Amino acid sequence: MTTYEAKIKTFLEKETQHQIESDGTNLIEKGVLDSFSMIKLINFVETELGVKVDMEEITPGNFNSVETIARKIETWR
Amino acid sequence: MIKLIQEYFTASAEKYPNNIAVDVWHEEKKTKKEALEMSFSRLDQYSNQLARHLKSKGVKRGDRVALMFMKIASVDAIASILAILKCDAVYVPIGHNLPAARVAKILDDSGAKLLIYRLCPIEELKKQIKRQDLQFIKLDYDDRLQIYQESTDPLPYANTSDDAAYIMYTSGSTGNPKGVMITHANIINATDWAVEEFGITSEDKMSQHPPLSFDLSTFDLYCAFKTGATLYPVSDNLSLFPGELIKFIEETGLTVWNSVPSVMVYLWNSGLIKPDRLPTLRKIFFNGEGFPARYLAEWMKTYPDKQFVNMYGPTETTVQCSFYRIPAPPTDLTKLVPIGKATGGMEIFAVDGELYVGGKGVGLGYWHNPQKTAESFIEFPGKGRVYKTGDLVSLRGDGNYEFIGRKDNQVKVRGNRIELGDVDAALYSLPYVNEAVAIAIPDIATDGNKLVVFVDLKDKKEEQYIKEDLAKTIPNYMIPDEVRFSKLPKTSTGKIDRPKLKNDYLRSKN
Repeated sequence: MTTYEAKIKTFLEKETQHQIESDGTNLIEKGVLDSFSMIKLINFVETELGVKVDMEEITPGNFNSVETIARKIETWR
Repeated sequence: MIKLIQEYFTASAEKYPNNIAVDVWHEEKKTKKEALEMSFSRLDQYSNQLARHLKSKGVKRGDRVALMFMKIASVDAIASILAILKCDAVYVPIGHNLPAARVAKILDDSGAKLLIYRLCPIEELKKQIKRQDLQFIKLDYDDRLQIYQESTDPLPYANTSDDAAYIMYTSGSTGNPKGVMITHANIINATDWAVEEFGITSEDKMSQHPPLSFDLSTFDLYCAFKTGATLYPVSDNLSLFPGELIKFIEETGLTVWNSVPSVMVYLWNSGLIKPDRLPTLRKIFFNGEGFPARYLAEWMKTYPDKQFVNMYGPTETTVQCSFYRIPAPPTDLTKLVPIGKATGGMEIFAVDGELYVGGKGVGLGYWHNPQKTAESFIEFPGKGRVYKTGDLVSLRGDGNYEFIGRKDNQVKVRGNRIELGDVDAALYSLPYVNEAVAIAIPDIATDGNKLVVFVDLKDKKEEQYIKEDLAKTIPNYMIPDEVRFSKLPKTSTGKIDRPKLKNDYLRSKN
């Protein structure tokens, strides 16, 4: 588990009050990510993790689980 | 003269057989076997075939047939709606993401003969449903191949304009959803007006964003059916990714957008809304809740050439009964946008501040609930049958109505009369507020009410800081007693769930 994965998981669990079973769990299907938690997550990545998010690059295919989100953030670092 | 709404579709299929009726945008579209798009003529034929299939399952005139689809299966969802109507039956659309217990309630209450579904898990639902006689049709690939064997010939209709076309379930105050019955004539009135008023044509490309279980979808579907325009369903996933959603609007070349305001607020907050984006979009409609003026002003300043229209209307009076073309970016950022004047064939007026709606869009009432129907649908001297909305309005000098709040949201706190919508608007005018709602909560200590606001913030702020900011726009007696910081729960139609917030609050105090 990378540090990004751990931080994202902790943040989303605290923010949404959902338990995230695994890093591969589809957060959209589970209702963890919705239009409000998404905005907060992006704000968190930019301010707490210090990585600028490219809103045009994220898609339902590459930004749907703790694992894929962490991987995407790595590419912007 | 069109008498039944499926005839809109058949007439367009004759006039524009090769126009695409429904086009599901999907990145991997080319590699998918499924029907993700269909022309008017083919969809007309397919729905004839499906109607015959439904009749073979025993569907008769007046029967209720429920449907539950994910957006990606929109071609089949719309074919199902047409097929149900072509059987002289009534469609009951159900949100695919509702809890099984709630779906079961709707299926039990409506007495639906059949549930047509696709790409939705229904194992849990089958456990919860009490009835034994409900039939299921899983409209998958194999089923479709079988249905394609049926005749494509048109079917004869026995229905009249005054028969129900759909029953849509809205939340009831007691926790049991109420089924609102809407007739063919109701929908025809709303559609004929909208097409004429906004000049929608066969060239238009329209979004289909709201779930089919939400009556906002009536605008999309029937305007497109009548004119031969193409519908572009917007999947739930797509709505979460502003970059993708904008790409979707641009690549499909959408000309008409219709959604609840919160989607547009979300898009604005992404920072991607720029003057050079969304070039094809001409008309933007929003409905379902008030649009915070601050965001609307930003949108309108970015796109001075696009048309922005606020629509208003309870499900009971068919999609929209009033509208307001917004002439210029709002300058008073603390107010909601006016709900405007009556649409064609409709009449709106206020009685003791409450908005009453009359005219051709007033529905039949609530499905087998004569008591609730009698409470809300009344004979009004000189106006005929009208619906009491429970919405409080005021009439502006220019003849436009403004929404003030819900009748049941008018509260007294320490003797002062407060419209909760007023506090909401003040909260929304603060730049760091994402979403907010004010609720009056019974206070045991004083035997009165106290005012609690729930806020979802973009930037962290202390309670005291917010109260001081509010004091800049509203009287002291409207300053909340307590500020709670939380994400705001939504109803299935995307509105803020006030009852849930209130109950959760009361529970937390016990």
